[in-house]
Amino acid sequence: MSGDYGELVGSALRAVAQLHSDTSRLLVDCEKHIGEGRKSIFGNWVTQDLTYNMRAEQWMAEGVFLYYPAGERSVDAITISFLEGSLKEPMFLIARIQYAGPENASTEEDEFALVKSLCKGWDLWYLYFRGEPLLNEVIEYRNAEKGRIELARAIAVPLYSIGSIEDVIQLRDRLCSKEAQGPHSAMA
Amino acid sequence: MLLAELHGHGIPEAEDNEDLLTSTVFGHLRYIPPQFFWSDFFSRAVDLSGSSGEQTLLEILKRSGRRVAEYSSIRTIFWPQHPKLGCPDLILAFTGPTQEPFLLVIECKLWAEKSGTGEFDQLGRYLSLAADLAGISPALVRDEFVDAFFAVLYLTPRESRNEVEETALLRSVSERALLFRAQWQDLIECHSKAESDVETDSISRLILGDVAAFLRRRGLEYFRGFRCCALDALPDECGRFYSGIGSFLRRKELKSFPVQKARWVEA
Repeated sequence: MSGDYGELVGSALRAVAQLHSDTSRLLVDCEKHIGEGRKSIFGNWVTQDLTYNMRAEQWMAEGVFLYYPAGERSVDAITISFLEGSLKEPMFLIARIQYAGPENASTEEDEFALVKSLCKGWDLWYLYFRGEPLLNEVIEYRNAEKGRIELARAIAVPLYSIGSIEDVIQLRDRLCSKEAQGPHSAMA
Repeated sequence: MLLAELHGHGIPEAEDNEDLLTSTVFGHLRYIPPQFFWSDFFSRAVDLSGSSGEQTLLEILKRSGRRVAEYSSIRTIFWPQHPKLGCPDLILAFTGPTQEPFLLVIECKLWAEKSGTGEFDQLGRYLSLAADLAGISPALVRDEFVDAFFAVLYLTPRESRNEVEETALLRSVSERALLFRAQWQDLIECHSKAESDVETDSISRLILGDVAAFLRRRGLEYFRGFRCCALDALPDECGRFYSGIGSFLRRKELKSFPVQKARWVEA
Protein backbone atom coordinates (compact mmCIF):
# COMPACT_ATOMS: atom_id res chain seq x y z
CA MET A 1 0.00 0.00 0.00
CA SER A 2 1.50 3.29 -1.05
CA GLY A 3 1.63 6.07 1.49
CA ASP A 4 1.28 8.52 -1.37
CA TYR A 5 -2.02 7.08 -2.52
CA GLY A 6 -4.14 9.72 -0.81
CA GLU A 7 -2.05 12.44 -2.42
CA LEU A 8 -2.52 10.79 -5.79
CA VAL A 9 -6.29 10.74 -5.34
CA GLY A 10 -6.07 14.35 -4.18
CA SER A 11 -4.33 15.21 -7.46
CA ALA A 12 -6.99 13.34 -9.41
CA LEU A 13 -9.74 15.27 -7.65
CA ARG A 14 -8.01 18.56 -8.32
CA ALA A 15 -7.80 17.53 -11.97
CA VAL A 16 -11.54 16.83 -11.93
CA ALA A 17 -12.21 20.23 -10.39
CA GLN A 18 -10.10 21.82 -13.12
CA LEU A 19 -12.00 19.82 -15.73
CA HIS A 20 -15.29 21.15 -14.39
CA SER A 21 -14.01 24.70 -14.32
CA ASP A 22 -12.76 24.53 -17.94
CA THR A 23 -15.97 22.83 -19.01
CA SER A 24 -17.96 25.67 -17.46
CA ARG A 25 -15.99 28.15 -19.58
CA LEU A 26 -16.61 26.01 -22.64
CA LEU A 27 -20.36 25.96 -21.96
CA VAL A 28 -20.45 29.74 -21.53
CA ASP A 29 -18.73 30.07 -24.92
CA CYS A 30 -21.13 27.52 -26.45
CA GLU A 31 -23.97 29.67 -25.20
CA LYS A 32 -22.59 32.50 -27.30
CA HIS A 33 -21.52 30.64 -30.45
CA ILE A 34 -23.94 27.71 -30.59
CA GLY A 35 -26.86 29.15 -28.62
CA GLU A 36 -26.41 32.44 -30.50
CA GLY A 37 -28.64 34.35 -28.13
CA ARG A 38 -31.36 31.71 -27.94
CA LYS A 39 -32.79 30.91 -24.55
CA SER A 40 -31.56 27.59 -23.20
CA ILE A 41 -34.31 24.99 -22.72
CA PHE A 42 -33.19 24.33 -19.14
CA GLY A 43 -32.16 27.89 -18.29
CA ASN A 44 -28.97 28.03 -16.25
CA TRP A 45 -29.18 24.37 -15.27
CA VAL A 46 -26.77 22.08 -17.07
CA THR A 47 -27.07 18.88 -15.10
CA GLN A 48 -29.61 16.93 -13.11
CA ASP A 49 -30.11 13.76 -11.05
CA LEU A 50 -27.45 14.64 -8.50
CA THR A 51 -28.04 13.35 -5.04
CA TYR A 52 -27.51 15.09 -1.72
CA ASN A 53 -28.24 11.88 0.12
CA MET A 54 -25.64 10.20 2.33
CA ARG A 55 -26.38 6.95 0.53
CA ALA A 56 -24.86 7.50 -2.87
CA GLU A 57 -22.61 5.95 -5.48
CA GLN A 58 -21.21 9.39 -6.14
CA TRP A 59 -22.06 13.04 -5.72
CA MET A 60 -20.29 14.27 -8.81
CA ALA A 61 -22.14 15.15 -12.01
CA GLU A 62 -21.61 12.45 -14.63
CA GLY A 63 -22.21 14.95 -17.37
CA VAL A 64 -23.62 18.31 -18.38
CA PHE A 65 -25.89 19.42 -21.20
CA LEU A 66 -27.22 22.42 -23.09
CA TYR A 67 -30.23 22.50 -25.40
CA TYR A 68 -31.45 25.35 -27.61
CA PRO A 69 -34.69 25.42 -29.58
CA ALA A 70 -34.02 25.17 -33.31
CA GLY A 71 -37.53 25.35 -34.75
CA GLU A 72 -39.95 22.64 -35.94
CA ARG A 73 -39.78 20.62 -32.74
CA SER A 74 -36.00 20.40 -32.90
CA VAL A 75 -33.14 21.38 -30.64
CA ASP A 76 -29.42 22.02 -30.94
CA ALA A 77 -27.92 19.87 -28.23
CA ILE A 78 -24.56 19.65 -26.51
CA THR A 79 -23.70 17.04 -23.93
CA ILE A 80 -20.42 16.45 -22.17
CA SER A 81 -19.99 13.11 -20.49
CA PHE A 82 -17.39 13.05 -17.76
CA LEU A 83 -17.94 9.52 -16.64
CA GLU A 84 -19.55 6.79 -18.65
CA GLY A 85 -18.74 3.15 -18.12
CA SER A 86 -18.23 2.13 -21.72
CA LEU A 87 -15.68 4.79 -22.60
CA LYS A 88 -12.30 5.50 -21.13
CA GLU A 89 -12.38 9.28 -21.34
CA PRO A 90 -14.75 12.25 -21.19
CA MET A 91 -16.64 12.88 -24.42
CA PHE A 92 -18.09 15.90 -26.17
CA LEU A 93 -21.34 15.30 -28.07
CA ILE A 94 -23.15 17.73 -30.32
CA ALA A 95 -26.41 17.05 -32.16
CA ARG A 96 -29.51 18.38 -33.83
CA ILE A 97 -32.48 16.44 -32.48
CA GLN A 98 -36.00 16.59 -33.90
CA TYR A 99 -38.80 15.36 -31.70
CA ALA A 100 -41.87 13.54 -32.99
CA GLY A 101 -45.18 15.32 -32.73
CA PRO A 102 -48.30 16.08 -34.68
CA GLU A 103 -47.98 19.82 -34.84
CA ASN A 104 -45.57 22.71 -35.03
CA ALA A 105 -46.04 25.75 -32.82
CA SER A 106 -47.14 28.99 -34.41
CA THR A 107 -45.20 31.43 -32.24
CA GLU A 108 -41.68 31.45 -30.87
CA GLU A 109 -43.00 31.24 -27.31
CA ASP A 110 -45.24 28.28 -28.12
CA GLU A 111 -42.36 26.57 -29.89
CA PHE A 112 -40.18 27.01 -26.80
CA ALA A 113 -42.89 25.56 -24.57
CA LEU A 114 -43.50 22.68 -26.94
CA VAL A 115 -39.84 21.74 -27.24
CA LYS A 116 -39.38 22.09 -23.48
CA SER A 117 -42.18 19.60 -22.95
CA LEU A 118 -40.56 17.12 -25.35
CA CYS A 119 -36.88 17.49 -24.52
CA LYS A 120 -35.19 15.60 -21.69
CA GLY A 121 -31.79 16.57 -20.33
CA TRP A 122 -30.08 13.26 -21.03
CA ASP A 123 -31.61 12.70 -24.50
CA LEU A 124 -28.34 13.11 -26.35
CA TRP A 125 -26.48 11.03 -23.77
CA TYR A 126 -28.87 8.11 -24.20
CA LEU A 127 -28.96 8.42 -27.98
CA TYR A 128 -25.23 8.13 -28.19
CA PHE A 129 -24.39 5.68 -25.46
CA ARG A 130 -27.21 3.25 -26.18
CA GLY A 131 -26.09 3.01 -29.79
CA GLU A 132 -22.69 2.17 -31.17
CA PRO A 133 -20.45 4.93 -29.80
CA LEU A 134 -18.70 5.91 -33.04
CA LEU A 135 -16.09 8.62 -32.83
CA ASN A 136 -15.83 11.71 -34.99
CA GLU A 137 -18.49 10.58 -37.49
CA VAL A 138 -21.93 11.91 -38.17
CA ILE A 139 -24.35 9.39 -36.71
CA GLU A 140 -28.00 9.46 -37.69
CA TYR A 141 -30.76 8.19 -35.42
CA ARG A 142 -34.39 7.64 -36.44
CA ASN A 143 -37.40 6.88 -34.28
CA ALA A 144 -35.34 6.66 -31.12
CA GLU A 145 -36.50 6.66 -27.49
CA LYS A 146 -39.68 4.77 -28.30
CA GLY A 147 -40.51 7.11 -31.13
CA ARG A 148 -40.22 10.28 -29.04
CA ILE A 149 -37.24 11.35 -31.13
CA GLU A 150 -38.05 11.39 -34.82
CA LEU A 151 -34.63 12.17 -36.19
CA ALA A 152 -31.26 13.12 -34.84
CA ARG A 153 -27.77 13.67 -36.16
CA ALA A 154 -24.86 13.65 -33.75
CA ILE A 155 -21.08 13.74 -33.63
CA ALA A 156 -18.96 12.68 -30.68
CA VAL A 157 -15.31 13.44 -30.06
CA PRO A 158 -13.04 13.04 -27.04
CA LEU A 159 -13.53 16.09 -24.84
CA TYR A 160 -9.81 16.74 -24.65
CA SER A 161 -9.66 17.09 -28.42
CA ILE A 162 -11.61 20.35 -28.05
CA GLY A 163 -9.00 23.08 -27.89
CA SER A 164 -11.15 26.11 -28.60
CA ILE A 165 -14.70 27.13 -29.38
CA GLU A 166 -13.76 27.05 -33.08
CA ASP A 167 -13.47 23.25 -32.80
CA VAL A 168 -17.07 23.13 -31.57
CA ILE A 169 -18.25 25.42 -34.36
CA GLN A 170 -16.55 23.14 -36.87
CA LEU A 171 -18.37 20.10 -35.47
CA ARG A 172 -21.67 21.99 -35.59
CA ASP A 173 -20.99 22.93 -39.22
CA ARG A 174 -20.27 19.32 -40.08
CA LEU A 175 -23.60 18.35 -38.54
CA CYS A 176 -25.45 20.96 -40.55
CA SER A 177 -23.57 20.27 -43.76
CA LYS A 178 -25.61 18.42 -46.35
CA GLU A 179 -22.39 16.90 -47.57
CA ALA A 180 -21.82 14.94 -44.37
CA GLN A 181 -20.87 11.50 -45.58
CA GLY A 182 -22.36 8.17 -44.70
CA PRO A 183 -24.58 8.69 -41.70
CA HIS A 184 -24.70 5.56 -39.56
CA SER A 185 -28.06 4.35 -38.43
CA ALA A 186 -27.96 3.59 -34.76
CA MET A 187 -31.31 2.72 -33.34
CA ALA A 188 -31.57 3.81 -29.77
CA MET B 1 -8.93 44.34 -3.41
CA LEU B 2 -7.45 43.36 -6.75
CA LEU B 3 -3.95 42.86 -5.46
CA ALA B 4 -5.12 41.19 -2.26
CA GLU B 5 -7.07 38.69 -4.32
CA LEU B 6 -4.20 38.10 -6.73
CA HIS B 7 -1.98 37.29 -3.76
CA GLY B 8 -4.38 34.89 -2.15
CA HIS B 9 -5.97 37.29 0.33
CA GLY B 10 -9.35 37.59 -1.36
CA ILE B 11 -12.66 37.50 0.47
CA PRO B 12 -14.65 34.50 -0.78
CA GLU B 13 -17.95 36.10 0.28
CA ALA B 14 -17.24 39.04 -2.03
CA GLU B 15 -16.62 36.98 -5.15
CA ASP B 16 -20.22 37.06 -6.31
CA ASN B 17 -20.65 40.77 -5.69
CA GLU B 18 -21.01 42.50 -9.04
CA ASP B 19 -20.48 46.00 -7.63
CA LEU B 20 -17.10 45.00 -6.22
CA LEU B 21 -16.20 43.38 -9.52
CA THR B 22 -17.22 46.52 -11.40
CA SER B 23 -15.33 48.89 -9.14
CA THR B 24 -12.24 46.68 -9.04
CA VAL B 25 -12.03 46.35 -12.81
CA PHE B 26 -13.06 49.83 -13.91
CA GLY B 27 -11.37 51.43 -10.92
CA HIS B 28 -8.14 50.29 -12.58
CA LEU B 29 -9.11 50.68 -16.23
CA ARG B 30 -9.92 54.36 -15.72
CA TYR B 31 -6.17 54.99 -15.59
CA ILE B 32 -5.66 53.65 -19.11
CA PRO B 33 -5.44 56.60 -21.51
CA PRO B 34 -7.62 56.69 -24.67
CA GLN B 35 -4.65 55.78 -26.88
CA PHE B 36 -4.48 52.20 -25.62
CA PHE B 37 -6.91 49.36 -25.01
CA TRP B 38 -10.21 51.24 -25.45
CA SER B 39 -10.44 51.02 -29.24
CA ASP B 40 -9.84 47.31 -29.03
CA PHE B 41 -12.43 46.92 -26.29
CA PHE B 42 -15.03 48.85 -28.30
CA SER B 43 -14.25 46.66 -31.32
CA ARG B 44 -15.56 43.75 -29.25
CA ALA B 45 -18.79 45.47 -28.24
CA VAL B 46 -21.47 44.66 -30.79
CA ASP B 47 -24.96 45.89 -31.53
CA LEU B 48 -27.94 43.79 -32.55
CA SER B 49 -27.52 42.43 -36.01
CA GLY B 50 -29.33 44.51 -38.56
CA SER B 51 -29.46 43.98 -42.31
CA SER B 52 -25.69 44.42 -42.52
CA GLY B 53 -24.89 42.07 -39.63
CA GLU B 54 -23.52 42.98 -36.22
CA GLN B 55 -21.61 46.24 -36.08
CA THR B 56 -19.10 47.11 -33.44
CA LEU B 57 -19.18 50.17 -31.25
CA LEU B 58 -15.80 51.14 -32.71
CA GLU B 59 -17.20 51.07 -36.24
CA ILE B 60 -20.17 53.19 -35.25
CA LEU B 61 -17.90 55.69 -33.50
CA LYS B 62 -15.69 55.94 -36.58
CA ARG B 63 -18.75 56.51 -38.72
CA SER B 64 -19.74 59.38 -36.45
CA GLY B 65 -16.32 60.91 -37.04
CA ARG B 66 -14.85 60.02 -33.65
CA ARG B 67 -11.47 58.36 -33.14
CA VAL B 68 -11.15 56.94 -29.63
CA ALA B 69 -7.36 57.20 -29.62
CA GLU B 70 -7.58 60.91 -30.41
CA TYR B 71 -9.44 61.83 -27.24
CA SER B 72 -7.25 63.39 -24.60
CA SER B 73 -9.04 62.28 -21.45
CA ILE B 74 -11.49 59.83 -19.93
CA ARG B 75 -13.51 60.52 -16.83
CA THR B 76 -15.22 57.65 -15.05
CA ILE B 77 -18.34 58.39 -13.06
CA PHE B 78 -19.30 55.44 -10.87
CA TRP B 79 -22.95 54.85 -10.03
CA PRO B 80 -24.31 58.15 -11.38
CA GLN B 81 -27.87 58.87 -10.28
CA HIS B 82 -30.83 60.08 -12.27
CA PRO B 83 -33.97 60.89 -10.25
CA LYS B 84 -36.31 59.05 -12.62
CA LEU B 85 -34.18 56.72 -14.71
CA GLY B 86 -32.09 55.04 -12.04
CA CYS B 87 -28.45 54.37 -11.43
CA PRO B 88 -26.27 52.65 -14.04
CA ASP B 89 -22.95 51.23 -12.89
CA LEU B 90 -20.78 53.80 -14.58
CA ILE B 91 -20.39 56.37 -17.30
CA LEU B 92 -17.22 56.82 -19.30
CA ALA B 93 -16.87 60.35 -20.65
CA PHE B 94 -14.30 60.71 -23.46
CA THR B 95 -13.35 64.28 -24.28
CA GLY B 96 -10.71 66.13 -26.26
CA PRO B 97 -10.15 69.35 -28.17
CA THR B 98 -10.25 67.83 -31.66
CA GLN B 99 -13.60 66.04 -31.72
CA GLU B 100 -17.07 65.83 -30.19
CA PRO B 101 -17.35 63.91 -26.90
CA PHE B 102 -18.41 60.32 -26.43
CA LEU B 103 -20.49 59.17 -23.44
CA LEU B 104 -20.76 55.49 -22.71
CA VAL B 105 -23.13 54.23 -20.03
CA ILE B 106 -22.05 50.78 -18.83
CA GLU B 107 -24.32 48.40 -16.99
CA CYS B 108 -22.40 45.46 -15.55
CA LYS B 109 -23.78 42.11 -14.49
CA LEU B 110 -22.24 39.07 -12.91
CA TRP B 111 -24.79 36.26 -12.71
CA ALA B 112 -28.01 38.26 -12.42
CA GLU B 113 -29.98 39.41 -15.43
CA LYS B 114 -31.13 42.98 -16.09
CA SER B 115 -33.91 44.22 -13.86
CA GLY B 116 -37.31 45.64 -14.72
CA THR B 117 -39.73 44.91 -17.51
CA GLY B 118 -41.67 47.02 -19.99
CA GLU B 119 -41.20 50.74 -19.36
CA PHE B 120 -39.04 49.89 -16.34
CA ASP B 121 -36.67 47.72 -18.36
CA GLN B 122 -33.25 48.61 -16.97
CA LEU B 123 -31.41 48.98 -20.28
CA GLY B 124 -34.37 50.87 -21.74
CA ARG B 125 -34.24 53.38 -18.87
CA TYR B 126 -30.53 53.93 -19.43
CA LEU B 127 -31.16 54.55 -23.13
CA SER B 128 -33.56 57.28 -22.03
CA LEU B 129 -30.70 59.01 -20.19
CA ALA B 130 -29.62 60.38 -23.58
CA ALA B 131 -32.58 62.76 -23.48
CA ASP B 132 -31.74 64.16 -20.04
CA LEU B 133 -27.99 64.07 -19.51
CA ALA B 134 -28.23 67.27 -17.50
CA GLY B 135 -30.30 65.38 -14.92
CA ILE B 136 -27.44 63.07 -13.97
CA SER B 137 -25.75 63.46 -10.60
CA PRO B 138 -22.86 63.98 -10.06
CA ALA B 139 -23.26 66.43 -12.90
CA LEU B 140 -21.50 65.97 -16.19
CA VAL B 141 -19.58 69.01 -17.34
CA ARG B 142 -20.80 70.72 -20.52
CA ASP B 143 -17.83 69.56 -22.58
CA GLU B 144 -18.73 65.99 -21.75
CA PHE B 145 -22.29 65.94 -22.98
CA VAL B 146 -22.93 68.72 -25.50
CA ASP B 147 -23.02 67.07 -28.96
CA ALA B 148 -21.87 63.84 -27.40
CA PHE B 149 -22.28 60.50 -29.09
CA PHE B 150 -24.21 58.46 -26.54
CA ALA B 151 -24.32 54.67 -26.20
CA VAL B 152 -25.23 52.02 -23.63
CA LEU B 153 -23.02 48.98 -23.14
CA TYR B 154 -24.30 45.88 -21.38
CA LEU B 155 -21.34 43.98 -19.90
CA THR B 156 -22.02 40.43 -18.78
CA PRO B 157 -20.18 37.15 -18.20
CA ARG B 158 -22.28 35.37 -20.85
CA GLU B 159 -24.07 35.96 -24.12
CA SER B 160 -26.80 38.52 -23.48
CA ARG B 161 -28.31 38.92 -26.92
CA ASN B 162 -31.78 37.79 -25.88
CA GLU B 163 -31.84 40.31 -23.00
CA VAL B 164 -30.69 43.11 -25.29
CA GLU B 165 -33.20 42.09 -27.97
CA GLU B 166 -35.95 42.21 -25.38
CA THR B 167 -35.02 45.83 -24.62
CA ALA B 168 -34.69 46.69 -28.30
CA LEU B 169 -38.23 45.50 -29.00
CA LEU B 170 -39.50 48.15 -26.59
CA ARG B 171 -37.50 51.00 -28.10
CA SER B 172 -37.30 52.95 -31.34
CA VAL B 173 -34.99 51.91 -34.18
CA SER B 174 -32.68 54.85 -33.49
CA GLU B 175 -32.38 53.93 -29.80
CA ARG B 176 -31.81 50.28 -30.67
CA ALA B 177 -28.72 51.39 -32.59
CA LEU B 178 -27.24 52.79 -29.37
CA LEU B 179 -27.36 49.51 -27.49
CA PHE B 180 -24.24 47.34 -27.39
CA ARG B 181 -23.15 44.24 -25.55
CA ALA B 182 -19.80 42.73 -24.58
CA GLN B 183 -18.49 40.21 -22.09
CA TRP B 184 -16.05 40.52 -19.20
CA GLN B 185 -13.99 37.92 -21.05
CA ASP B 186 -13.37 40.46 -23.81
CA LEU B 187 -11.27 42.52 -21.41
CA ILE B 188 -8.78 39.65 -21.15
CA GLU B 189 -8.64 39.39 -24.93
CA CYS B 190 -7.84 43.11 -25.07
CA HIS B 191 -5.06 42.64 -22.57
CA SER B 192 -3.52 39.90 -24.73
CA LYS B 193 -3.55 42.25 -27.70
CA ALA B 194 -2.16 45.16 -25.69
CA GLU B 195 0.66 42.90 -24.47
CA SER B 196 1.82 42.28 -28.01
CA ASP B 197 1.46 45.93 -29.01
CA VAL B 198 4.82 47.66 -28.65
CA GLU B 199 3.14 51.05 -28.34
CA THR B 200 1.33 50.22 -25.08
CA ASP B 201 3.08 52.11 -22.28
CA SER B 202 4.46 50.28 -19.28
CA ILE B 203 1.90 51.62 -16.77
CA SER B 204 -1.02 50.58 -18.98
CA ARG B 205 0.59 47.20 -19.48
CA LEU B 206 0.88 46.75 -15.72
CA ILE B 207 -2.73 47.77 -15.09
CA LEU B 208 -4.12 45.63 -17.89
CA GLY B 209 -2.03 42.69 -16.73
CA ASP B 210 -3.41 42.97 -13.19
CA VAL B 211 -6.99 43.30 -14.40
CA ALA B 212 -6.60 40.30 -16.71
CA ALA B 213 -5.09 38.20 -13.92
CA PHE B 214 -7.94 39.19 -11.62
CA LEU B 215 -10.58 38.24 -14.21
CA ARG B 216 -8.83 34.96 -14.91
CA ARG B 217 -8.86 34.22 -11.20
CA ARG B 218 -12.59 34.83 -11.26
CA GLY B 219 -12.96 32.41 -14.19
CA LEU B 220 -14.09 35.23 -16.49
CA GLU B 221 -12.08 34.18 -19.52
CA TYR B 222 -13.01 32.53 -22.78
CA PHE B 223 -12.38 28.82 -23.16
CA ARG B 224 -8.88 28.21 -24.51
CA GLY B 225 -8.64 24.46 -24.19
CA PHE B 226 -8.49 22.19 -21.19
CA ARG B 227 -5.66 22.59 -18.74
CA CYS B 228 -3.90 19.35 -17.99
CA CYS B 229 -2.44 18.39 -14.65
CA ALA B 230 0.37 15.87 -14.34
CA LEU B 231 -1.15 12.65 -13.06
CA ASP B 232 0.65 9.44 -12.30
CA ALA B 233 -1.20 6.27 -13.16
CA LEU B 234 -3.88 5.43 -10.68
CA PRO B 235 -4.49 1.79 -9.82
CA ASP B 236 -7.66 0.03 -11.03
CA GLU B 237 -9.43 0.37 -7.73
CA CYS B 238 -8.62 4.04 -7.64
CA GLY B 239 -10.50 6.01 -5.06
CA ARG B 240 -11.78 2.98 -3.16
CA PHE B 241 -10.94 3.37 0.49
CA TYR B 242 -13.70 1.99 2.65
CA SER B 243 -14.92 -1.58 2.60
CA GLY B 244 -18.26 -0.95 4.26
CA ILE B 245 -17.58 -3.56 6.91
CA GLY B 246 -15.77 -1.40 9.33
CA SER B 247 -12.31 -0.88 8.05
CA PHE B 248 -10.55 1.50 5.74
CA LEU B 249 -9.06 -0.38 2.82
CA ARG B 250 -6.23 2.03 2.36
CA ARG B 251 -5.62 3.24 5.87
CA LYS B 252 -2.11 4.21 6.70
CA GLU B 253 -0.50 2.10 9.41
CA LEU B 254 -0.06 4.16 12.50
CA LYS B 255 3.29 4.01 14.19
CA SER B 256 3.07 3.05 17.86
CA PHE B 257 3.55 5.83 20.33
CA PRO B 258 3.82 5.83 24.11
CA VAL B 259 0.64 6.50 26.06
CA GLN B 260 0.84 8.64 29.13
CA LYS B 261 -1.99 8.43 31.57
CA ALA B 262 -3.63 11.71 32.35
CA ARG B 263 -4.32 12.79 35.89
CA TRP B 264 -5.86 15.75 37.63
CA VAL B 265 -3.51 18.14 39.29
CA GLU B 266 -4.69 19.59 42.52
CA ALA B 267 -4.48 23.36 42.60
